[in-house]
Amino acid sequence: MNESPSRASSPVSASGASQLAGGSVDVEQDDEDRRLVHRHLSGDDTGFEQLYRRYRERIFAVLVRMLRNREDALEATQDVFIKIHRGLDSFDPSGRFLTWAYRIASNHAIDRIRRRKVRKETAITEETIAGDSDLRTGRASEPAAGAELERIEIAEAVARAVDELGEAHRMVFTLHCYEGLSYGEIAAVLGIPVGTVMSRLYHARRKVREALPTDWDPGGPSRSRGRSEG
Amino acid sequence: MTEDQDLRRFQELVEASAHRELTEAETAFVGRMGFRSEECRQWLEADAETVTTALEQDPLREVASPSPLDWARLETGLQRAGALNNPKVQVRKSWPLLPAAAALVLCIGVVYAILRDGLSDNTVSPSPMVAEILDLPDGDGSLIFDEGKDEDGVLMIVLSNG
Repeated sequence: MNESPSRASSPVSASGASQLAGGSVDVEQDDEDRRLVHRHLSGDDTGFEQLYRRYRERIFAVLVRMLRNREDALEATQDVFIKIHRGLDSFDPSGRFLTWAYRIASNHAIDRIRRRKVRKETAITEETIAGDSDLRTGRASEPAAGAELERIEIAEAVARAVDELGEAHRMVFTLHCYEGLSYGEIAAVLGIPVGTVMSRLYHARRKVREALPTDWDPGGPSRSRGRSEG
Repeated sequence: MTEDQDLRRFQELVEASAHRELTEAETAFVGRMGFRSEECRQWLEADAETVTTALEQDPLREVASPSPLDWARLETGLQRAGALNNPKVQVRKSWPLLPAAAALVLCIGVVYAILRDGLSDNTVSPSPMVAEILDLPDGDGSLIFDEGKDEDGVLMIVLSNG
């Protein structure tokens, strides 16, 4: 089972994947996190500041993916770090700081999604997809054709499907498919049983797959072309 | 239960979770079989590869970092909430050190002066004090003519037949 998918997505999640892959780096980082928490609790303000610098991009990225909106995610990142700051004395040092921080971020994202009921007109997916090819390739906009059209179609389908996932399914889907967290880690972050993580992920994946064009071939030319272009 | 039965039950429960909340025992079964049984995992992950490939097209796969201006905005909020130190406030905080030190020196000086000189505010040198022991027997006919006190001490005028 691909329990902890190694997706080289953003620089943020790429580093996240390496951290979540396990090993001595993890242990060292976890220990350092605990030292920083302890430093903060001992009255040294630099402890929290270093935690913030260390994880702000990661928290921002996960919030963008959960909220599907950069502006919302930026605001939410601020709120999440304020919550982390206020709640550091309740952090259990026997656990991982990042798991605890993800939990705060996920709960906050769920609250925001419930409150706003997804302002689709400002969703990042729509504004980003249009300029996405320019952003990645640096080329000026040209009429899309062939494989590029198919790519945009897939991107829109994925974005729409993820937008339409209920918040519970979206959290699990985002943490697994974008952040690379394993079933066990997601269970720890969301405070739910592993069996629930599995079933939610199964349904979320199925909804996304059903949203894809029926004639789309995952191993087709657009995919290989996309890869060869880097 | 055989492996086939386990797989069937696993599938039924996962499918049923879309419509109802599973019991604790059912959830535990799903979690257990999802880890233990290769067949269950394969079934659970049936869409994984397709979805993973589709996600490669998702713009959110790569999240660009916020601009320095965005971070600054966010950090201003954190500073207001007291989560991060505000460098400007730190500068202001350092200023009271100087008057505080000056006040401390002043206090030490005042205390030292009090210990040395007492609380009297008399700045002129005190009058020389004259002491005389009068050993007068009782009923010797001496008459205390006047007795008064002022800031400089006791004044007593004694008329004596001695």
